[in-house]
Amino acid sequence: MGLAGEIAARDGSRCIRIDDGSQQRYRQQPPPAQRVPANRHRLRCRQLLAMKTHFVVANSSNPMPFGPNAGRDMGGTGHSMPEGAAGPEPENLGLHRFTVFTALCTTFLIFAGGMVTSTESGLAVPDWPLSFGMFFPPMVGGIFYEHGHRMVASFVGFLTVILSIWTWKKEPRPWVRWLALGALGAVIAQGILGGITVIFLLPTPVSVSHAMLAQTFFCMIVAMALFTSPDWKRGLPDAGPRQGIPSLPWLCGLTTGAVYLQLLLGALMRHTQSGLAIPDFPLAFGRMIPPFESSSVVIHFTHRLGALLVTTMISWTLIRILSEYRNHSRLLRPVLVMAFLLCIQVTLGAFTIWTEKGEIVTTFHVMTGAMILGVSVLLALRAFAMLPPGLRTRTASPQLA
Amino acid sequence: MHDKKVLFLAFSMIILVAAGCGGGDDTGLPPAPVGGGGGGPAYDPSTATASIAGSIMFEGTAPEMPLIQMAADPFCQEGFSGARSKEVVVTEDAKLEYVIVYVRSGHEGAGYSVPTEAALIDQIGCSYTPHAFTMMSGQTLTIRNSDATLHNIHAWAEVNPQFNIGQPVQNMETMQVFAQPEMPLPMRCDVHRWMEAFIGVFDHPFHTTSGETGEYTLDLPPGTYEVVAWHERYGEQVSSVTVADGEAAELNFTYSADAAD
Repeated sequence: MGLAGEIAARDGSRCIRIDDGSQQRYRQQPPPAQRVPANRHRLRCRQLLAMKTHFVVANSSNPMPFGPNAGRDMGGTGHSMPEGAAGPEPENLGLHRFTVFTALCTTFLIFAGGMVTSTESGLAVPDWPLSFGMFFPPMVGGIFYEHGHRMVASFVGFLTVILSIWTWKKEPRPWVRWLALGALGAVIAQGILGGITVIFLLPTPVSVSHAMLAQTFFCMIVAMALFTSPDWKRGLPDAGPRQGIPSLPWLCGLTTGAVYLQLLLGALMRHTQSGLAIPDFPLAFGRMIPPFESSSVVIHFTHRLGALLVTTMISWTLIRILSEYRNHSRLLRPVLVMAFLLCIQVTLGAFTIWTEKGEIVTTFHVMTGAMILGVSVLLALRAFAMLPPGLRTRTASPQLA
Repeated sequence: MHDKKVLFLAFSMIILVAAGCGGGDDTGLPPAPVGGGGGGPAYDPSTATASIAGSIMFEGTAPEMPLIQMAADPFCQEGFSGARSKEVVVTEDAKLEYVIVYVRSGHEGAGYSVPTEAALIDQIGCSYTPHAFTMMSGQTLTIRNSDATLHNIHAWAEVNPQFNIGQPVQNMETMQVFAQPEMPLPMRCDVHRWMEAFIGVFDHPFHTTSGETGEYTLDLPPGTYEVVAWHERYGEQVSSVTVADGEAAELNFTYSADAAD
């Protein structure tokens, strides 16, 4: 357990932040003349943290989380307080919760979109942006999936508009505002891509782009949810210097890249009808290496190889964190969730073959893939923030109190 | 200034809606070709002096077609539940329905005028009628929705341009033309996934389907022909036959239950 930061309020009380690696705690030390119950101290401390203008940075053995150099120390990833600022960003819990809600709705949107492909309903509604010339056609047959997907997408688009406006008005960090605007651009582009997909009768490049832009948008929303979280704004604890090649942040980044690539292969497989090009699992036509007689077999087998790559990367990340960063819950929890999701995902992949692309199983396979990507993005961002570059050479910042 | 902004916004909306709604043109038919096949003199089918006729025999036990699950649409479920797939329909005297029979070679050299009457495919009872049929390239195809529910008709063409048309209103009709021969050309409804039909599009008039009797007749001029029978599950069979002037040649095809494609 080490002292991570100490804040002196203007009334003379001191808010001491203690970071034991896995969690942050705050303890208020009242002015010597006062005698206040301990629980009230903690409450007061939280209030102080929430109202940054009421305190200034004081003595600190490791000044990064609260110090004025925090923005530079963290590589500008989440702690870019301006010079001379008196503390972390204000907590806007409403915005954070709204972003998390948007992320959850996006997860469901990916499921709804997956059901459209799984039920082959992508062209059940032949026109766009209206549906059979109507706003609300009868929800029968494939229309239920296609028009239902459009409705969920419209809702997520609406949420993203609100998120962008809210962020633009209330968020002090310019790069977060631009990220929100980027998410809005992505969701608009996604809607147009969906329309092009319908009008041009599911051309594979457009359908795959639609699928991948969905994943990209989901990553943006997950990142927004992280950046707007109080935890991020207060500053994540240091996890020590970067070690090994690749270092943990880059390992997490590579894992995210591998997951994204695998999702691209999965989208390509689905939209080229290659999902059952190899009809057996775990073998391929009863062999380890199938005969590459068609492009469908090549795409399908590449997706299986991609699964091996992703499994390797996630396992490597898991082992690295368990061995070197197991005391950092912000790293440990997401990697455990990711490993758990990976187990589910491999099982779902197997059942996708065994059930001959059962609609529900296949769609959950798509959604779980997106969830793995989301968690890997979260983990990578945290790793980059908690293991900033150049930490080894950094010295303590000047005291400001 | 404010008025200009409103005007710009309204104009943008109109452009957006117009662009969005401009995806399909149901009435814009491509120009029909004057004739198909070769560049020789036009052939009048009514002057055919020979014919090839036969049966599509089916050996073995016909597979029982599954009941169509129509629960996805209450209209279909209430009116037509109990219908079975038409993929394999065998008559009581063991003959196979919905087999497309056509001449692949031997007919070249003549020009063939396109029929003026349109071919018809009807969406009735949440099913396509007929299930399999033939027509000529350049001939008009009338697509009708006799059901009181929405259908889309989606041509999964590979040679001709694909189309996907919505027919949300009962008795709605749409005309389409396939400019190029294509065999087979599947038609599907993406709203009701069980709905599927097959069209044979040819550049000559020597084609037909085995009807409810599982038999067919091709009227044509005398000559030697390569005749093909095609079934959606059991695939293709090819046979050659020579028919003399005034003669009716018999040509039977036999499919086996064990020979699923």
